[in-house]
Amino acid sequence: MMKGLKNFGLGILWALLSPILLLGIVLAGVFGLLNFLVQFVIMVINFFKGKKLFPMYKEDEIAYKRIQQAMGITPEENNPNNPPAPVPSQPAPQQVFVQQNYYTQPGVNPAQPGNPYPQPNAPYPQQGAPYPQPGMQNPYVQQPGYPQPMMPQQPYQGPLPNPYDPYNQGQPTVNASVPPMVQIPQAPTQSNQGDVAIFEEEGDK
Amino acid sequence: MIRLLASIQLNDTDKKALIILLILMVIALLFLGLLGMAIRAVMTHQAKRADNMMHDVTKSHVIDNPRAFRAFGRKKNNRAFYRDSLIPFAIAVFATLIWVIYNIATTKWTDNIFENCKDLFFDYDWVGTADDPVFVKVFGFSLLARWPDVTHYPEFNIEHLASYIIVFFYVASWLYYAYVCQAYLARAFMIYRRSTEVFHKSLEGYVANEPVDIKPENPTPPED
Repeated sequence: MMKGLKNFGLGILWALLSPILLLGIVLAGVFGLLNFLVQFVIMVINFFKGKKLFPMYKEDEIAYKRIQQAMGITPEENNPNNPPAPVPSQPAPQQVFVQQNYYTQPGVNPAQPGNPYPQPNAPYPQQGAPYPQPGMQNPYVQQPGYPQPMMPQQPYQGPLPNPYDPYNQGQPTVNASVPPMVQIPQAPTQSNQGDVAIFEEEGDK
Repeated sequence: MIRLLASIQLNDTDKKALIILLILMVIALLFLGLLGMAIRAVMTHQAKRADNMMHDVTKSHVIDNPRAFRAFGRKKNNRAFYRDSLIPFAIAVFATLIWVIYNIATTKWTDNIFENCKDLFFDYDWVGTADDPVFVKVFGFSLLARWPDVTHYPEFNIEHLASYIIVFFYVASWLYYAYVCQAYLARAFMIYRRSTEVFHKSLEGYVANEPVDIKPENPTPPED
């Protein structure tokens, strides 16, 4: 009750002094115009210097460092001007290329007996069927009577696929003598231009 | 004095008028008190930001004397004032832009937009006639003798719509700027007050000639 009456009395006092307060507000308003111009010029200068528009004051920086030291935090760890590198939400995609080549010798029929190379299209055992089945060979197991499968081979002379070119997987458009690691990605070929168009359409959505 | 007051004879009409006058005075006092309380509460709320601005530098002892406290507080207060006044300035610039575009479109550069806004308010004849004046002179003071006649009732004129909008934005920006100025003053008062309070040192109860009671302790052995 007494506190309320005291506040009420102070309120009457403030109301009676309000003309002085009004005068102060008018003076502050005039000062505010000058302050606005000065601060605006400072802001523009900071902008063209490449700094923040309102950089921290020296005293604030010192206080910030002291508080962080008192909290046991290294200033570099939690510096607002030097934020840590953003952590990606998911790992970067990695492309794995699996290449399966069957090297056939010209003039050799793989189906003929005595062929030292296993048949690439030999049937595999079906699910539930016992292995081995008659008339079927496991191409990865050395059969009796067959020589070592990795016998004289000729190196593959064809073009090598560039693992860094998504448009040129196995297409013979580059010189095979150039190592594939340094080949420049090629422009989309006629065959896969449609894929690019589809991709761009999706990107516009 | 008491006899003089006791000798005053009041009829019923005078008594009623006196009671009404007293009630009006009480209402005015109540209104004044509530208005002052509201102003004080608003300024106290606005001044809390000064504490927030100066807390870290004071608690970490970066600033350790009242003069530096006031100087740094003035710098931060000016910057806060600039930031706060961006909004009312933007509103005023927006209103000016509307005014320029409107005048380019209508070529009514000489129109007084504030005069046009008088359509929306009452207007009174504060002079009256020679036989029936609104104000009368009593002992050299001008007192209201009667309620003035209404000369204009509010009406909405569609031709002055742009003026209404522009004046609305201008008035809003001025009121907002007045509020920002009041906040600036409140923070300035608070910074000055804190500069005397925070670094206050008191010698209350201290006697320099008193023997100092220091208990001797064994010194700490040196570390290995």
